[in-house]
Amino acid sequence: MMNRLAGFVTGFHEVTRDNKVLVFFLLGTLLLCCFRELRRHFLSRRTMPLALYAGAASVLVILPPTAWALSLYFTAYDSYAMFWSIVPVNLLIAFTGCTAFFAYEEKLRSLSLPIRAALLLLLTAAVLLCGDCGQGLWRRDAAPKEPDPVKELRARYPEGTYLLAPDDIQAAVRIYAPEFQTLYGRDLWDPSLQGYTYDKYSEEIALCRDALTDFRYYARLSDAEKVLQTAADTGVRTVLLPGNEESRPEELSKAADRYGFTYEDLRTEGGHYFLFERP
Amino acid sequence: MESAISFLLPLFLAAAALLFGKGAVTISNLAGESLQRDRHTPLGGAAAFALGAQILLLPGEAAWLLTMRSGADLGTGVRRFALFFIALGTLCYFSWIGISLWKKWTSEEKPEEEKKPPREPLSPLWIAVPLLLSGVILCLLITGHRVSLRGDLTAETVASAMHTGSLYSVNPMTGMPYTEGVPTRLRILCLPFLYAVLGRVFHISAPVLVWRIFPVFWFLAGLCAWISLSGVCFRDRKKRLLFLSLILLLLFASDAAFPYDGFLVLSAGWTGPAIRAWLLIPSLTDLLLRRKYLLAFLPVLCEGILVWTLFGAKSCALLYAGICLASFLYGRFLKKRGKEGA
Repeated sequence: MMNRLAGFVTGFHEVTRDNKVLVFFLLGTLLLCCFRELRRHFLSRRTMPLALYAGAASVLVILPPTAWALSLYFTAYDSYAMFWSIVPVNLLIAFTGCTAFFAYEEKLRSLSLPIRAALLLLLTAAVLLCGDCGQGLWRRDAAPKEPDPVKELRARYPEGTYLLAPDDIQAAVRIYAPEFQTLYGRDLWDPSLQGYTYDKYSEEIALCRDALTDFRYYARLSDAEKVLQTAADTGVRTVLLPGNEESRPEELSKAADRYGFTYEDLRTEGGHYFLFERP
Repeated sequence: MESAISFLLPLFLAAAALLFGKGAVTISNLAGESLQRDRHTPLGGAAAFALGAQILLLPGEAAWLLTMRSGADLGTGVRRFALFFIALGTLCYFSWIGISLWKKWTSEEKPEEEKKPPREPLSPLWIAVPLLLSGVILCLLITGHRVSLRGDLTAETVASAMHTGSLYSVNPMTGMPYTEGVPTRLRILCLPFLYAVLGRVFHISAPVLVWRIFPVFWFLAGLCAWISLSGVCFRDRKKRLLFLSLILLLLFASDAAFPYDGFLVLSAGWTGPAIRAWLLIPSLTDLLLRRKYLLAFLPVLCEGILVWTLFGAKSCALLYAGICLASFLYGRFLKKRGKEGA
């Protein structure tokens, strides 16, 4: 019990560290408490129920005992950060900010233009710094375009095949070429996806994925053999190993013969791969 | 490669959301006028679009539940969806047109002095800022540069469903048959079915449909909900525009990680949690502050069929109950204070 309560305190620290917008929310609440003029503008008859609810919900989420009670209402899959979905944080910050601006509009107008401009810049920068200062605008967690190796595989196998390939290729194949089957999916390395199915992967498959990932960096023959052996045991028809400058094609070719595959060097615009096929 | 018909999907979504929304808003405004009289605050076009986008989910869920229970294929699901969609569309159309015509015939012409006063002119900067911010977000969503697949398998599920012709017949992660299956709570969610049905009808590939078209649609619907909510919070146009600018700016500020609003809207706009954060919560708050308690059940219901939890309606249900309770207590307090004052 004490551990769980402590977990909510840690959770609050993590949430305020990750999402600085919450700091603005708390700052807004503090401002409301301190300035009567602001309170008078904010708490109109129509918006009072929202303010009351938001206050109560924030207390529920922030205090560890009430957060624990709230965790009974939520599910085991929901993290502490998800609890904040019951507090309309952005709405209240925008509402407080807007109210504050117009409550003190006259005073702001009395300031000189450079000071006003500096204040506006400072506030905008502070808000944007809460995120990742615009860097995230161009972040790419997943390629929205079909990767070149997948295009190559689709051209070679228009009817699809049973494939074993590096993580990025396997993930893209299931989206761009659903006619392909794979030995394992993204849920093997993304734990947040494991709740979507009761199916589980065997330890053998997990070890095979580790060997395939290691091969990209170390180009060890033992890793390639482990991958080919699992592929042979599970009926996989096509194996794609990532190319590496240090890998020795002659040894890979011999390993392919041992496990009943043909070997081919595959060069696409998206990279260099070793292709193993079951005849 | 998308087919020529695929360009009709955005038009179809916009028209459907407007039609459904107009029907619901017309009925709600009529009921509000007769029941609440002086306390009635009518819903406008923005609220109609936001509500219509939510109503669009209902034929999807009904068709999906029937299809799932009968074990039918996606083709049958498409036909059932079309049936429910046409039935609901017809109902909304006749409600909208019928009530509007009836009101036009029965209402008296307003005298000139009662008509709305002309709007005071605004500096273009007030309008330019929210427009610019919305434009940047729309560009990001349309180009698909911000797609994050962490914790989501919608694209794989839709692609598998369109390929095999049935939903959840194979594991979308591998394309192999399930050995143990999927949780029932996941199976009743309607988004993958809706996306697969529309993808099949309009011949659009899963990545384009899921990562580009629907995030834009949900973003615009959510923006309409915020516009409507700004009308409840502020009467002044300047204040409303500043409020919208701040809301859009805060999206960038809360773009930290899953599950914060900014990240959800910018990087996972097709998912249930993103729709909840950006569309359902402002829409629900708007409806509750306008005292449209019956219509406010819609976002609560939508959360139940969109977001995967053990008991679905969660944040919206709590928000609904919380604001209703706060309204009741505040009303009692005002009454008591009024009596004491007298």
